[in-house]
Amino acid sequence: MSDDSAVAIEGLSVRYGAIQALDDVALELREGQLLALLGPNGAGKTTLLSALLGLLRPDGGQVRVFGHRPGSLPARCLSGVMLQNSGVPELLSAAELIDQFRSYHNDAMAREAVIELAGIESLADRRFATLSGGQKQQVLFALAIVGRPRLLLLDEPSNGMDINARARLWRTVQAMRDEGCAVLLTTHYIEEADRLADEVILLDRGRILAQGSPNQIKSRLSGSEIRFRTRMGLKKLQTMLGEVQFEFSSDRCRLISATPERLLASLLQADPELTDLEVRPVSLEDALSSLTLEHAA
Amino acid sequence: MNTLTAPLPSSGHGLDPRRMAGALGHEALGEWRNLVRMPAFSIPTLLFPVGFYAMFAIVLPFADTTQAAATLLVNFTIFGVFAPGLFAFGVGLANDRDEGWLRLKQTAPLPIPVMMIARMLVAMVFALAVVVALFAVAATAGGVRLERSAWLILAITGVLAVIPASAIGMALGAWMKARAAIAIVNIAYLGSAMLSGLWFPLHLMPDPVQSIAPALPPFHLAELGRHATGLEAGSLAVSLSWLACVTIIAAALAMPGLRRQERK
Repeated sequence: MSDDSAVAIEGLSVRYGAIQALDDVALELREGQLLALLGPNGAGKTTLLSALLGLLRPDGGQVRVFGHRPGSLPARCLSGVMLQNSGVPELLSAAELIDQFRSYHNDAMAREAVIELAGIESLADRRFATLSGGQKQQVLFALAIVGRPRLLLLDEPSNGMDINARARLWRTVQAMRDEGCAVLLTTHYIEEADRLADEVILLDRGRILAQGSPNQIKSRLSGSEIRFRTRMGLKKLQTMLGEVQFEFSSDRCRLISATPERLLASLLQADPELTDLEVRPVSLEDALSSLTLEHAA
Repeated sequence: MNTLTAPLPSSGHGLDPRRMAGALGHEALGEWRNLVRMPAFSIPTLLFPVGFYAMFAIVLPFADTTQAAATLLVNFTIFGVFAPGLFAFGVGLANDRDEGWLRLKQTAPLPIPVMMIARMLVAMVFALAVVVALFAVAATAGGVRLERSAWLILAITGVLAVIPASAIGMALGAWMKARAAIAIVNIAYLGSAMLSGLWFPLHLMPDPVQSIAPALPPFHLAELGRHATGLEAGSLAVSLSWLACVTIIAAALAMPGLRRQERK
């Protein structure tokens, strides 16, 4: 564990009855680092966050938050937390909730600053009950940052947010990271991880499948994504593409190739009528889904 | 200079005492706003005891003697002040748990006892409002005549009755789902009031009820009220110790429920 470690997890295992929710997970999050935790539903992301917050007792392993026991008062003082489905007293306004949370901290941010950073200027006086799902998320984000945390834990923060709200959230999270805050983020939006994260961890069925910077993970799946529409049938495509895996429905085809130039030449020869051709570098999403598939096979 | 994230503290964590008082105040203010903005809580809490008292003591001819008038006031005071704590905790806490609000607060640096004390203080304010409303009706239309000190002691008893009521509510709310809590807390409330003789004199009740009553907290709170107003009552020490026991046991039962590990 290094000196600037915000979160250190070693050998973490959690079981719910017969289900192994987390199996020997180890990770380290340093100050000023933004770690994105990705994985399908049930991969163990929320369980990992719960263990980090001291909301559940692990069956094995060690978790430390700035060297403190998770859930202990010193750990809570240093953390800002945004959980999924947090019910909030619906009859209180966003500003009232922010003031209430500000009172929990010795050194809280000014109310106006929080409101601006969360992008909720126009919502501050509205009761929580009247807000949309994405707006509620923005208010919950505001509650997470009021205490000027050294560690920010965000569980699916941008769920339901519109584009502007999401951009504002990203800007604030990045600014906090740049000031040395450690950020752990779970997300379904892989684009979010790709844009923000210094490091990505892919979790599947309780185990870490892959870990690295978004670029390192993308480079594991070298090549390009190719999409096109063709009049060729499934049979003909199969013989033509040989070993290459592809998706095909009605006349649309999508595949990933390590040698796109060569493949394109033969494709265009086989079907000169080919339309809507797109070639682009593999996305983080492709890389991650291929890793998940490899693991399942 | 960092503005978004605070520097790591070199020593000391948690709120300093001055801040703790501020947190308690804000917490209580939030609870107060939430309850007064919820007519389903605030209106019955105030109107039920006053309405029932007015029906029994003014519309119906039950307050025919000075003693009967005082007895009715004591009974409906206890009936009224037992509700805010019982419901704010029994239903409110169950709701907070179900909806994830308690979980979010458990991750914040607010000690959970501060949250509980804030909620109890707000219930006490509601209890005081019930007392004031009842006393106003009793002293005018109800024809109740008491020494000034008797009014005062009865009022204080009414406000402090929130403590055992909150503890019992906390024991229920810490373990039950919100939906079940609404039904169970209502049954517990109305049932214990009835069986404690708050609605009908105990000596008119069947023998089994008369023997259950001394186990119920509202019965002993009414005993304290009878002491305060100079009515005939049992041992003050017995009532006080029984109420203390129930409060401690209920709070102890609530603790593991609040700390319960998260399970999916």
